[in-house]
Amino acid sequence: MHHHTFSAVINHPTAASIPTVASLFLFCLVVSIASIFLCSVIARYFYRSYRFFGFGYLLGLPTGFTILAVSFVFEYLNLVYSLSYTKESLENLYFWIQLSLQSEGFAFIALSYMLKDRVDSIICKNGLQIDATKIFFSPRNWKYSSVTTTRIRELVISILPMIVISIPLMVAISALFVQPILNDIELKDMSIYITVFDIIALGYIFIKSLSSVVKAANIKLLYIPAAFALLWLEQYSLTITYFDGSLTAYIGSSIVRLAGLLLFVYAIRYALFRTRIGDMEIET
Amino acid sequence: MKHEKRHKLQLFYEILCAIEDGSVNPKVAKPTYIQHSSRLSYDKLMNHINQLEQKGMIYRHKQDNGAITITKKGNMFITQYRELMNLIESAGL
Repeated sequence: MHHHTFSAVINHPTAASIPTVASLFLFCLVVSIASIFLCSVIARYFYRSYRFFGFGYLLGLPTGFTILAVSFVFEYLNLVYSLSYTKESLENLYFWIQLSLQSEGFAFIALSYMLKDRVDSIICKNGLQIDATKIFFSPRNWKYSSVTTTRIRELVISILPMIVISIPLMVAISALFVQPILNDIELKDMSIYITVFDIIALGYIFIKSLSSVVKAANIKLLYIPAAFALLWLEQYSLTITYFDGSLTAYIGSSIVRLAGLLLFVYAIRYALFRTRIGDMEIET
Repeated sequence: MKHEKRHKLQLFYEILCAIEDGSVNPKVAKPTYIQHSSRLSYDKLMNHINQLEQKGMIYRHKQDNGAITITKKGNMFITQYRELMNLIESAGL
């Protein structure tokens, strides 16, 4: 939800724009509620796979989608408070929490792909299968590398996930400590930094998910990378909204986000039904 | 030939699949077939088979040279493993 585009329409309503405001509010409300529901469904399925396999790196996805669902709850609250003109500080606070949580959610999803890469590289190097949680910050893994550059590279790879996770939190907390009550312009500036972070995180997730699917050489597995591409497009549309305040770009971003989450749920259903259809074919 | 070390769940899945593949009427598989199919040493296979039996996923016939049958719980494990493996593969994980 791009706070300022919506606020601009809602805080300065004209007689002609009142029906537009009402329909825009309803549209945003539906998008928020649908996003909460879809993210919860996605988180539930990936949590099941984590519980079943027990690989630490799989926990990033359900955690990320749960945080995203919570961020959309704050988006909903922000929407509700944007209608009550007297509580602008609360509206700003909800908007800020929503932005930070959304980035945190994407960071956790990216973490899953980062840790998966690390597990793969250690398996290739040692021919052993190691739990992702055991390799997280474990100096014992460094002794295998003989060259200093490799050690530095491994150190960076070890620290990078922590940095990715802490960026949205650090930015949010430091902004609130420096100035507890943020005004509209400061919020607008902060939101663009966070959106850029989201674009980078989603770009990384998209490339990683796509490369794994390409290796599997199955075009029918492209749904999830496509869903991440749509979420990336949502963030890109929000940057356009930041620069020109375009309402069309804002509505487009909401539609794209909803389409991305729907595609995600469809991909999950497809992956599960593919197994059942396969089983039925074997039986016949 | 170099084999990647397999996760315990993957081993359970491969053993159960071997039982399923090697089952003839009335749905029983011989341990030698399972050993060949799952590429495990006899000791390791028996260790895993004991664990699977304890978990109620297989049933060992006492009379028929220790022939093995998959239980309903074992079949549920196979389905769930395939479903969730498909899910994480489709996510590129």
